[in-house]
Amino acid sequence: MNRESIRWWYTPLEVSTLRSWLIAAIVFNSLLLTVDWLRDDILGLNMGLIGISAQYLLMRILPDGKKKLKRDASLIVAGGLVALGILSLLDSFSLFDIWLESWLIIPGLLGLYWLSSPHVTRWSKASDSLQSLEAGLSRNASRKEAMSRVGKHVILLHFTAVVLLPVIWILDVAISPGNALGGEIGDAFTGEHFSTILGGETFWTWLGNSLIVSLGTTLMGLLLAVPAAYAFSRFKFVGRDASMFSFLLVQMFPGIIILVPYFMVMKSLGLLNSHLGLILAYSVTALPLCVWMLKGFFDTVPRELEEAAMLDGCNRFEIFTRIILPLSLPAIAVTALFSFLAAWNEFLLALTFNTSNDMYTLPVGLASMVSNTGQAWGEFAAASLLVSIPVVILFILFQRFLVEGLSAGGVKG
Amino acid sequence: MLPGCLDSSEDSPIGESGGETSLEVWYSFTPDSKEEETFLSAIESFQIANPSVTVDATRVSYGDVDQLYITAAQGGEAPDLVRISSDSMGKFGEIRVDGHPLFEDLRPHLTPEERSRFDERSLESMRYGEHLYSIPASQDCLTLIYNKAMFAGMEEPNENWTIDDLLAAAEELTYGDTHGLEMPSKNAYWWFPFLGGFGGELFDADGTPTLDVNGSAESLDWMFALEQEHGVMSEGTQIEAMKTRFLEYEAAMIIDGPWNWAIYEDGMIDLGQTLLPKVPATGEHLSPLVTYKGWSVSKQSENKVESTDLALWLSSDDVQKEFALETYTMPTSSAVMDDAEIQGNEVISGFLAQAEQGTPAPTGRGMAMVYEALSPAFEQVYTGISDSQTALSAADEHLTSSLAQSEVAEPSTLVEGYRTTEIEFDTDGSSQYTISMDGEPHSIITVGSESIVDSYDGCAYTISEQAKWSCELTGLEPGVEHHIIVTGQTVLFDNQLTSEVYDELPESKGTSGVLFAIGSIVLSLIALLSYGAWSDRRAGRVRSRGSHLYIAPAMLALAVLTFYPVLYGFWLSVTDASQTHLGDESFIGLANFWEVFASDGFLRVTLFTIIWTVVNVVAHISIGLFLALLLNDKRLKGRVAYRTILLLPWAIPSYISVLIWRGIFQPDGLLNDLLGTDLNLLADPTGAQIIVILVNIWLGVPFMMMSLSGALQALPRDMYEAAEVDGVSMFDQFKHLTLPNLKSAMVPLSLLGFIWTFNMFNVIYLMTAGGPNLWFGEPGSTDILITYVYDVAFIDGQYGVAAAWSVVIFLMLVVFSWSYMKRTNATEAVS
Repeated sequence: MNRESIRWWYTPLEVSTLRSWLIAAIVFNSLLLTVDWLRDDILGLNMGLIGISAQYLLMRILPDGKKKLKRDASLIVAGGLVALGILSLLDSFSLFDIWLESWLIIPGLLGLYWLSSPHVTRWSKASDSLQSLEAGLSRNASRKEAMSRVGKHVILLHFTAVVLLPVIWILDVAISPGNALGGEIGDAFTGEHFSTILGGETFWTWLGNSLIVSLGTTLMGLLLAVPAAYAFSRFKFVGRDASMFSFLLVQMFPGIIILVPYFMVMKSLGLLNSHLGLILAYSVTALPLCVWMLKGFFDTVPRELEEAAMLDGCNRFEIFTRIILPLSLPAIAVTALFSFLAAWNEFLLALTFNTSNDMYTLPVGLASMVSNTGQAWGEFAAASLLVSIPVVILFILFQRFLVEGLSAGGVKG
Repeated sequence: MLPGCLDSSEDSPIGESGGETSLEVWYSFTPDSKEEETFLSAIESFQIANPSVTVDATRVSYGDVDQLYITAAQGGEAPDLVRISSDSMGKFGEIRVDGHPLFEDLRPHLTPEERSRFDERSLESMRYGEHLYSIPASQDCLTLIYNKAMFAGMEEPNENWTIDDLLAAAEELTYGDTHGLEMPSKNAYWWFPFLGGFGGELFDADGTPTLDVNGSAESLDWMFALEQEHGVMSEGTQIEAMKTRFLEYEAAMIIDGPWNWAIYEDGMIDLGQTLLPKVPATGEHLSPLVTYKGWSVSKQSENKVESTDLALWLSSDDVQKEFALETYTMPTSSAVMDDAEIQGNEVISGFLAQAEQGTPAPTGRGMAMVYEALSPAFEQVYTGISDSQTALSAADEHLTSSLAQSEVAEPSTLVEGYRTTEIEFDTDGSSQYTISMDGEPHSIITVGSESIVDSYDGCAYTISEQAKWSCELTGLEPGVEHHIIVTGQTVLFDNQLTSEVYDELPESKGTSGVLFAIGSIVLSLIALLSYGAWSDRRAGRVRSRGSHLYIAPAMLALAVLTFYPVLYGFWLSVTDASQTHLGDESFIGLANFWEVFASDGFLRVTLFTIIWTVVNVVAHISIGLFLALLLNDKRLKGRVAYRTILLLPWAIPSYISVLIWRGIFQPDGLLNDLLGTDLNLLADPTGAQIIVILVNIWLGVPFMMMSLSGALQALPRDMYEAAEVDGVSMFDQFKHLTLPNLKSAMVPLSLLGFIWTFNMFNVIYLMTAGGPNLWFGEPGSTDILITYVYDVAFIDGQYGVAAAWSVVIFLMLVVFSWSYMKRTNATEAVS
């Protein structure tokens, strides 16, 4: 290959990465304009708009390996971005603002650093040799994934922060002395709320009930849903569409309005104040999702596999347990998790059907801790963290199935 | 001292039901609090004194107890005894279950002597109409609480203060982040003291609303000016914020009740308390609403005698005194109020003095609606949309018309002769007659007080040939011989009397009807499935043999549990069912639907429901898919950690996380700390709409992320490898490989997501309860259909109309889902 053709489709990774990151930064900075708008900060709003325009400009004039001028202009704009960010910081300075302005400063700094690196300089001056071009290509190939992974981490860290923000507050309420909701984060520490809850007998009773009900629901839900989903996926029969639709139908009628007749049904069947009653009720709630989700997954398992197995003399049950189930582990894991959590966090039915303290599930028990005379926020927060711990443990165990679910493609081939 | 009739039950261990009696009690004290401890020890001592009775006490959350009790009663499973608040009386009063009220009228149960122990006002506050529905055990009201340390060198608040003194002190104490005064002024409960102080009242003697006369507008202006004009209160304070700021020395004075006193004491604050100040124009003190908490016996209780005994025990002098001294709970017994130890206790006597200045909460039907009527008015005045006089007039008009429209239940009657008997005796010219029953004082008749308010409160004097007293004695136990002695100057009556009239329990709702309905549903389902199987066989579809058996278990479970309630909901929508008559409703055709479509704000609330649903579902799926794709990279470090953290919003009960988010958006919440602003977004209609949507997005993304992560595992990996080799761009891979292959998972997920979000109740209810509400009798800004239906059903009590709304929701979803399914061929199996 000659030098020109390589040059034609070689762009240093730094430049292409900078371009895609600038797009992300522009989107993000536009969103951040809301902050200035909420603050009623006209200056900030203007600075933000200038910053966004500068980033857009920078994106457009990034060096293309032909005109040297473009690189110098880019360096100037990048420097401008850094200056603009620092200038904005002088105006208001806090941890939050540093983060805010870092969306101007960091792309600027990266621009300055990357665009002034020797091989980008050479490339932008169109003065690189064949050898250095080849080195650049291989560097591109080896560092591309790492680069994109850095981007992924940045994005994921932001999502994590949004998720954790309220959780940290819950944690703060749980470990602060007293029972107030709010106050400075991390000003004092106490384990009293946790020890009050763990020391009380009721918490363990509620935990037991919740575990029985949730695990029961998971099991029952799968037992009911798996055969139905299999039939919906594999067979054509009279009333198929209608039955599938009827699973959805019952979720469309607002539940709170029909609480009293539901209560009457439970009473007639002798299921009030029992684990079984809740297990059945939650299984039915979870059924539509489980059935539809599993059906969708079974659909993706190729029929040829089954037919081949049938020729080998397997019966339906064997086909199901040997082929369909192992291939559908990820979906089964997700539906199981869903059934478990639907039961674990449900409040209204548990409150209505199980009205004896020994039969309370965790959410109902926790809610009973909030009363008119002095909300026990501290204990409430501590308890809610304790409630989510089993879910987290369960989930970490579940991860295996999400990750290790056999790839259908591997079998298909 | 044991209440009178307890002794008799000891004399005759065989009660109405014979042998062992078990009572179910619902209480709502804070767990592990001194209140709960005191209550449980009172229960304990009751069981020791009454060995034949076992008490099963269940703690129920204070906020849920009313609704839960109503549901249980409507299902025929009400507990024997429940703790209720007098300001809920208006809510309970008109409710009928199969024609019976919720609570037992306690008038025949109590002897005049037993009743005379209670403060007159407290007993009156437990009445609905003439019925006595509860035995008062404690009372509550707001008062002025201050932090003595912050008044160093200044005059501390005292009972001679006027509101001008209060304002002056508050202004002096407001500097920087600290405010002189805090209270949640947009909460009508905090306005009531001002209304009273300026000479107004909520209702006149006939129960007609008087929200817009006698200084009510001035009082509202004065209260809002504290924050908006004088700035002595911080912006948009809510109850929790008031508590927090007071605990952190950021508020010098607050208007709060005794229920939080212990928390402030624990917070090491040098507390002071005094009467709310006077209004110079009227010379009256601000007059807080006094609410009473009492014990009510269920109409459905099979053991009303024992339940009443327990209610009396729990409100006995000893128990009340213990509550007062241990927990600062204000007593209702006259003797306890005057007790030297109570009077000597600075805190409790201060509260009692405040309660004396207060106005007992009205118990009429209107009280249950007053908050709903005032909330838009407050919203309008606060935001400056209208002035207080106009807004309060509108509220008054709205309340008057809703009262006029609200249904009145059939008056309930007492069982003639149950727990009562009639005696007659001659006069002997004394000025006072004493009646005793089984050696305990029963009542005292003073001559000259013949005209009595309540026929269960004494005797009538008849002058025929012979001057005679005839008395209706209450508090007898059916089937038990009671020894009655009447003494004037001499013994005038001495006899053993027995009342043979027993309690008439409401006909317990038979479960046979429901069982029959379920049975029919199951049979028809089995018939349908068999028919399906049969026609499949006839059509020769051999491959699908047994397919109906596969779906049978799921279909049966679904049918048994949910078909009956849904069908019942459909039935209700064409009846006149309401809380005043449930179980004896009658068919009225489509009138309810007319009401739904003609109601103000129907289009607005439907529109917001659609926006809410579409924005949420689109955001859940796109963010969920984005994250699932990011996390699908096997070589990404910390993948398990990311996934686990991103799962948290799903794992933490939404009950707490929504409350935390609400806290974050408060004026003194985390958001304002971060931004350095002073926003009150939840008070702004558009702001609140955006926030509820954002919070629900936060809650819903993890589920979609997990489901789509699962679905991504099913994607044929070799295709991607081929695409990579062919140099197909990432975007094209996503568009032409990922999306089409995810369809089988995405369609049901989006469909179910749509249905769930459309009917998502928790988030909005806990976040804003549908507010801010600027319109009278209409849905609030953040109300979606389901939250509005809840209000129609459980605040207005119109079950029929609420069911019609539900049917409308149902039909909207059916139409949407059916067309969505058909468009996407979701039911089709891959061939």
